[in-house]
Amino acid sequence: MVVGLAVLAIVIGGTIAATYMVLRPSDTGRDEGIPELKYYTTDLAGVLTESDLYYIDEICYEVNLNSSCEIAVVVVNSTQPYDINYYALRTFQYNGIGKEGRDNGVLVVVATDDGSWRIEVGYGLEGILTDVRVNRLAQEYLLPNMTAGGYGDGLFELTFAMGMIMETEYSGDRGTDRTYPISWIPLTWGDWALVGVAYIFLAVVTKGWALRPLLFLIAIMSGGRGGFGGGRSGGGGASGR
Amino acid sequence: MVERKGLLVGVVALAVIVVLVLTVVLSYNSLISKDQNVNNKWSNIEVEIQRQVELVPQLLQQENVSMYFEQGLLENITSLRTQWLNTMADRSVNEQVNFSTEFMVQMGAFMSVVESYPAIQSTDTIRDIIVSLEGTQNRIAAARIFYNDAVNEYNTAILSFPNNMLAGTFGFEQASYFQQGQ
Repeated sequence: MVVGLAVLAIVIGGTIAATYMVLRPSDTGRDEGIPELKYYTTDLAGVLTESDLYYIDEICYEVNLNSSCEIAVVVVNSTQPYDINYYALRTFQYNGIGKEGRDNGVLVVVATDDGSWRIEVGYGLEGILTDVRVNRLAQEYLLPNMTAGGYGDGLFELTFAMGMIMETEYSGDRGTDRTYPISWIPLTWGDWALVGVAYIFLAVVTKGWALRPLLFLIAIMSGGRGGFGGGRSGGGGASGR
Repeated sequence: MVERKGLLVGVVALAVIVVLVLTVVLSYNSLISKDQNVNNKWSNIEVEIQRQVELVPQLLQQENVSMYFEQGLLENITSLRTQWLNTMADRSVNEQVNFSTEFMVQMGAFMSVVESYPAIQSTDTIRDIIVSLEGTQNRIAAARIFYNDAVNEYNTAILSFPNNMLAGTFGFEQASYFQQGQ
């Protein structure tokens, strides 16, 4: 009898959790070669110095803090076999740059061997970072510096310029990440309520026995990867070589 | 004894009917929702095509631009533009999709010319229009993926059991994929 109930409880608890995970915005699968970004700035080509990385990261951090907009920078040797537009779009989607719902993210991709660049702008920023504007920013700050040793400066200036625009002109919600009552567990009040219901149900029915799997599920439910918020882009922005 | 059995049969029959009705309702709603999704994703593309339709003449009006293009290409684009503006509003999504494939082919050729002759970008205005056009091309490329995904989901649903039986009755037809074209 108890075993039967336990099984039932696990099934129901599992279904609740599974349904919940299914209904969340879907994960884009990872194409081969599309990087998972763990920091604001990722240098896979080895052209940025430690201090470049530090200063650019600092801009991104400040911008995130002040406006909730997320900037990510990726430097690679080449985006092959993808063309840079596809590469940028997939990287953006996979990592979910920008806050979920606000879609206020920007991704800068530079391919040093290809000599190409792209600035991919999330839906929520297309109003202030139009294709034309972003192209101008790239022309002014990035292009003159697309040389060995210059990438750091170029990316710093570009990120700074975009960051200023975001901080002064972004008119969306600037609240810090959808309120996480416990900041290191990526669950909102709504998420916790659901977890609470499942938790109580399982606890009562199995006398505490079935709770471990649930805690595991909590750990893997999050909006974006590597700290990004789960924002989306539709292909806006500009690119060139 | 017989009464009990009659009652049981009645209850079972009722349960079966309830389940059937629920299935039909859920199935119908699911198809509607997927169909709406297809339309939504198409309208994202439509918006960008509209933008292209507006930008192309702006570009061609700039000085020393139209001379780079073959007359045939310009005529095709103009004709397709006119068709888009005059007739597409009344068409179904599928018709719009099929029409747009041809337009996309011409736009592809158009943008190839733009990319082959950097000299076209002789003024800031021209450059900005071109950047905007490239932006729309890229957005269409992205939106096409989402649109085709939505079509795939919808078409699969229509063709699967048990929806396939209902689709015909309710008038759901397959949606068209947005092809690359030649």
